[in-house]
Amino acid sequence: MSVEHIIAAGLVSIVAGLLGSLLGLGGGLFVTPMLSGPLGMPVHRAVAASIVAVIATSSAGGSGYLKRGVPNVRLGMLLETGTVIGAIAGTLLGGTLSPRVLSGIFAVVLVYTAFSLLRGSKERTVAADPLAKWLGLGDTYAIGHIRLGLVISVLAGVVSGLLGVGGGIVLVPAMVALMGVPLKIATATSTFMIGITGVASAAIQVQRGNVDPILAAPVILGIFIGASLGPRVAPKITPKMLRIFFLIAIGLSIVEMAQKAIA
Amino acid sequence: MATNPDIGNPNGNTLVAAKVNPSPVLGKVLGYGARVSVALFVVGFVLSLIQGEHGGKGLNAGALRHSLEHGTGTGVVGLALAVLIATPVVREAVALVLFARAKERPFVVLAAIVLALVGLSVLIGSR
Repeated sequence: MSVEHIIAAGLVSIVAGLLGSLLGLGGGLFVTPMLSGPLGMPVHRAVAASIVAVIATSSAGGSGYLKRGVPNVRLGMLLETGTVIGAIAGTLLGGTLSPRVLSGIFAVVLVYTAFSLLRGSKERTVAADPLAKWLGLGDTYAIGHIRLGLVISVLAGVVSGLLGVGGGIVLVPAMVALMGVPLKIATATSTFMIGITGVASAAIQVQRGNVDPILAAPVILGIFIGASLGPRVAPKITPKMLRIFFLIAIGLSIVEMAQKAIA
Repeated sequence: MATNPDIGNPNGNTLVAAKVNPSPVLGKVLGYGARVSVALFVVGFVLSLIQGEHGGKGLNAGALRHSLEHGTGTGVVGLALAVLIATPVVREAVALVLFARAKERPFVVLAAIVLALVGLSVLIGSR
């Protein structure tokens, strides 16, 4: 890998981190298409680099949320059992898939994310699940459908392990629309959870030699810089501009991954 | 140990149902881990550029030890990676201890399951 490639990886990661921060996605979603597209990196390597960036995002973001007491730690610890199982399965599955199939799945998940974010997750009140009551999971709001939530957590883990993303794109809508968790708490809880979920994938990816440290460094530092720029840039961007940026970024990512799937 | 946990309260009000508030301690663990790993990433990355290392391959435990012994940037970045990956694991272990002290057994069991699963993933990766 040339120095130009390493610097370019850092620059695209800054953009990915900034976009992820502005959209509340964490950055992982845009890292793989950017690394595998403009930089021509193999998809499997880009996924492995992305998953370590997800851990970094979770530790930094989760720390801030925890200090303010926003995440529902107990709910997160329950759902982590599902996401970690899913992440192991997803990572192993990803290793067996061809780059074309993996790119195709990525494109489909990006399309789902686009629709999911444009539609938004409407908060709703649900009947408390007896298991949630027994565990003391919620107080100012009731938490419902714990078992179904666990099943969806496994799915979120599979998506995370397979594609090197955080899994929040699956988890947050499920927590909000199905389990009755307020959006702000669901986002913080998801950020808190995706670190340990990413570790389950990274432990496999690193030991199998898929994580190139010299590539991981600029990606992680770029995501950090981009994510820290987000709160400063956000006030200067109107919701309409953000929507346009999002549509351009996700549109290009979908085209990139779809091309790889068809080529 | 802090009491009156905030288990997901948007207004930060104290709640009565639970026994221990793990959030401040877990937040510190994640914060320190993130800062140490980022600092190591910066040092290792700059060092690797100065030394003209271009990567292109993965780094296992043996290669990491060798790189560190020779003071290479790749070794420092590998160490940063190890700290980064260990941080959520330490956070989970600390949560287990906090819940064990508070005798909140369901969450001790959940944390133990997650740690066992992470151990399983390490085993799977090594084969």
